[in-house]
Amino acid sequence: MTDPLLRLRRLSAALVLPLAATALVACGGSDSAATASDAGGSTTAATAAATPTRSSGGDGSGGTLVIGSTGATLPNPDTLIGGNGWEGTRFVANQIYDQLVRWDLTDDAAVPRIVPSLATSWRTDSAGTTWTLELRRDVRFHDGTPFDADAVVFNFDRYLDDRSEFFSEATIGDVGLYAGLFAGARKVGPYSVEITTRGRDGHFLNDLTYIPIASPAGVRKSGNAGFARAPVGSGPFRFASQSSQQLELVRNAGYWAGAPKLDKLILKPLPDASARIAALRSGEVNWIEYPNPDDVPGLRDAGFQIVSNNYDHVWQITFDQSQRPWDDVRVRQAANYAVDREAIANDLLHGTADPAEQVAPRGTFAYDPAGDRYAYDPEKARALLAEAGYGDGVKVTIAVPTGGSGNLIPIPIAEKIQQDLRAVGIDAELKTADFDTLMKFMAEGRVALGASAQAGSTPLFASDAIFALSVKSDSPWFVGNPTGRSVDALVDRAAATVDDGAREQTYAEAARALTEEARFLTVVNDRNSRALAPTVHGFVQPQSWFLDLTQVWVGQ
Amino acid sequence: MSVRLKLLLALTAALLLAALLAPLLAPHAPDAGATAQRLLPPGSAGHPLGTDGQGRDLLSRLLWGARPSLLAGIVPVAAAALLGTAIGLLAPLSRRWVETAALRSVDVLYAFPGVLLAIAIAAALGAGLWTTVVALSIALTPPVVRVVQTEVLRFRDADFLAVARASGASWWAVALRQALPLVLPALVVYCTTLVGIAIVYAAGLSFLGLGVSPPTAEWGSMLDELRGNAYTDPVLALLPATTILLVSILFNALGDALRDQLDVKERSVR
Repeated sequence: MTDPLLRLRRLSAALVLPLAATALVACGGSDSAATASDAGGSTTAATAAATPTRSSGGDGSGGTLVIGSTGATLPNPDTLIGGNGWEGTRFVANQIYDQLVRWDLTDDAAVPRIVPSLATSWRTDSAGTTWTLELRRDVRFHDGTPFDADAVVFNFDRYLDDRSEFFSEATIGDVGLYAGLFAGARKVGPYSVEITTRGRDGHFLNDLTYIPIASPAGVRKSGNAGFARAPVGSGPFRFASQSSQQLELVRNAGYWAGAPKLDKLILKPLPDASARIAALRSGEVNWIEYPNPDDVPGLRDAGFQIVSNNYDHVWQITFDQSQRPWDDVRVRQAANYAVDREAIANDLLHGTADPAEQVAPRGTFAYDPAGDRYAYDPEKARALLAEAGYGDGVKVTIAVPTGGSGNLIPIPIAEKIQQDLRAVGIDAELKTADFDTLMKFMAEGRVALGASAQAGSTPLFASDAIFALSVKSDSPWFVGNPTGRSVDALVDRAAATVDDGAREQTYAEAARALTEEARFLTVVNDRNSRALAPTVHGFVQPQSWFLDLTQVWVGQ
Repeated sequence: MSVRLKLLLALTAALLLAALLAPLLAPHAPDAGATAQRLLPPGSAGHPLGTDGQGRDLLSRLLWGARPSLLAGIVPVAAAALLGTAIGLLAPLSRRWVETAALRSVDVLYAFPGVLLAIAIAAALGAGLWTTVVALSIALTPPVVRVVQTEVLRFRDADFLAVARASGASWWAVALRQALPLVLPALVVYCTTLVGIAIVYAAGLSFLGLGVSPPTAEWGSMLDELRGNAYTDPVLALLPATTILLVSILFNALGDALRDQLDVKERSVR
């Protein structure tokens, strides 16, 4: 996921697009490992029960956690510059830095909510454009300097104000996707700031969860260019060192929310799935992301812990509605009925994913167990195709990535889909290319490789900014050239709704409309599986791509 | 003809025949499978070599896969032989500046490792079997040019060419009747060896997703799909890998045997 993004960024001077692509890539997260979901329309609760989301318990602390991650390179630890998209965010940025607000990642049974972090409370004016936040008074950065309103203003200036001394193109590159609506921050008291937005901003808090706060003294001391080598935040872990092989963080004993239990946290990039398994089995690492699904049963037998949970992920094929036959909703629905998702989730993926019969993924507020729309029904698929005038069969082309974050095992999944589609009369040619290439097309708003549909994965609901970019017809990204505009209106309305309940209802309505008009062939929701050595304790896997490592410890 | 050469020729013929008769020999369709039948071990009922991750019969896929794999091994070598011989033979017999221009151009391509050059060309053209053929044809031409040119340089100033020219033979006649036959043995030997390399390169391109598109059976893409099962089902993962290895060794051995037969090393031209 990393490289494509970096290259994308270089490709285009326009910041938001490449960045967005990065986030997208990163977020799709898929790495997985887990258990079987029950066959007919498993509910969130049922699946969660079937699969452990916690590592073994017990009291203790200390140890070194060594994570084998899926990225090809290490993230840049300067705030959100990343380089690994969301993999960098979750393992590095979110460990070194705090944000003003954050996701509550301590509960594996509930969809995460936004809770106070560096800000203790917030209020907005009736226009929804001015937000006043009260800040914590007991926070110190890793360099000992205190956190206050000046620090918030300094960071927002660094992200948003090109006249500021430490404005960084590179930084705003990644932050810009989320900070797009922010106009600026102003100090209104020593521990009180006012942030203004351009227009009514219903997803202000959601965006804030992606804006890390760095130590102003640290940035001044190292300069923009040097900050990546000496990053200073206020998070649970402090930066220790970075080589080409690994990035090392150590425990922040003075963490305001309680010191983490681990002594050390090490991140190693191991993009090859077999290399990750080998590293875990040999003890070189004690935690790996996304074990190859076929390896999961063997790892479990060997005593490794496989943890997984629902989260915001959908593996999907986006139809290009500007091309036949996908311009006909009946054909798009037929494709959705034609695919045996249970076989993919259980046989190919060994329960590391659940069938996705609606656009809203499990592990999001928008998922409704009763909303599963497309159970496997090849007869119905054939009937719909005949009704649409394709009773004698039709040829289509699907662009498929050869790998990439969040894409699971894309080619085997696509080959299974190809078989199922052929059984109802849709003859699909698969065109493969590396994810890098597909992302380039996507960011240019085009379907890749001259195909008529494109496979990939998205995290639709973790970021409102990404949701809009992923579904609205005026998105600069490729979203399928939809002809209907009803979803656009719903997304715009949701984005401008400050009230959480009302906004979420509107998003859920948009997701239902997307399911009904079969904008995508939704295939599976990944469960974000990871394999942990038996010595790793205290980890609770939340229903999120992100995670909380403060309660984890490594024993003997 | 040595026994070794006869044996190797027989094996090669058998391999080509197997590819040709794949529709008759294969017990199953190469792209038919059920996920409930996936990753069956060799020796399973109805699947002598087991099944792959989609539940497809591996024996059938290896047989069908021989077609694109051998095609991608042989056609580019033939194309490179034609093109490379044309350049390597004609350039040294031409005017100095033509020779320099032609050979230096080839040197530019030669500066890149063959497999990298093939990957770059295939990536530019987009995935597909014909992309592989074109990419390998271009990538394999420079070494052929080198081999042919080296041969030509050995006799370029020999008396018999001067005699032929003096007797009024045209430039083309000298090149094709006098020079070409002298080059052929070395060319045949080298190209036979090259087939083995081309098969490995083609498998490499498929492995990278630049070759055939799924579900087409091809040895390289089969290896790519099964490599994730190196721990869980090592025997299955080894099948396409071993096939590529053995076939590549076969063509290398055949090249060696031909070299001995044609006595290429010892030949001296005067």
